[in-house]
Amino acid sequence: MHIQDGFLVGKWAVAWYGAASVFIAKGVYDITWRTQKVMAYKPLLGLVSAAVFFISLLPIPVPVTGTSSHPAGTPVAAILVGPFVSMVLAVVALLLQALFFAHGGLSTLGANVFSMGVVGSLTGFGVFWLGRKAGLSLGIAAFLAGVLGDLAVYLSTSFQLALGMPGIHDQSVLKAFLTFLALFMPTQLPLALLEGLVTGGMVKYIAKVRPDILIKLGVLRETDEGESQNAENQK
Amino acid sequence: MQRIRNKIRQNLIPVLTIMLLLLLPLTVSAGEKWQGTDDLVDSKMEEVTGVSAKEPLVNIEGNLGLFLFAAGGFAAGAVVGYQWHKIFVVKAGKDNG
Repeated sequence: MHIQDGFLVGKWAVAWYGAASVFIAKGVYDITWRTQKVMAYKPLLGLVSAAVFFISLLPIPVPVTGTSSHPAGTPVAAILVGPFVSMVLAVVALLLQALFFAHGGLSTLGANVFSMGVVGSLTGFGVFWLGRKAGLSLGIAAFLAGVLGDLAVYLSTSFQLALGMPGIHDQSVLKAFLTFLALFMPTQLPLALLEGLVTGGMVKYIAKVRPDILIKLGVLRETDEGESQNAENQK
Repeated sequence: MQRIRNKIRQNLIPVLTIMLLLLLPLTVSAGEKWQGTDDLVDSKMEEVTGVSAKEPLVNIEGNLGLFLFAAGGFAAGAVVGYQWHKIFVVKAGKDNG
């Protein structure tokens, strides 16, 4: 989903920078109060930021299509460190990737941050939150967050490309959107399932080993911890 | 709540199966084996608009790319491993014993 330099006209490149910056400002503010509130937040932030950088750079081959792509990493980050903080982590990862790995460009950084950071984080966190409200288990809610968060990132990238591509006035935005979506989706669908499995597994693991962190961050309720302990004891 | 939960549980496997089945007829015309989807988009963009991606600020050529990917992966792995140990091994061990 890394949009390269030159693929968005100037006004859209600037617009995505503007839209993303509002969310990033809230993310920077959230980091400050969360580090003060939870002792283990800084190491968790370090772990998750390195994971987002790595996951969003890793080309995973998909045998069905013979192509490769990468997951987003922001849905799991949004659940663990908060949706707005996850957006800040996306900025760091995408900036390094644009500078040193020829993945994405500097003029399109705002658009890439908006799709992977803002859309990926908000969708992931929103689906997880709704899933928990609906009574789904921690693992299933996180799995769905990973799957839908990943797909939402590529939907928004297709939309950004269709909206801002040079010479778009000659063609329909919908047609361009569907063209880009058709290029992404065959490879991205299995990767979205993989991202869902990783997200579900990671959240469940942390809930088992360090539920105190998730409780302090509001991801887990104390009653949930009691339930999971009972389930463990019954086994 | 229980109704919604049951509905999602019942529909999860059929939805995932349909998603996987949809993949079978959809084969991407990749120019080379394991080509990245970002590269496919770059080619399509060039084909449709005639605009090709601009050269990156730091141009990576030859084995420099391999070196940077290896170094980046190592650095990320080291950070993840160190923080993982700090959060889940040291602290969890203290809590248990």
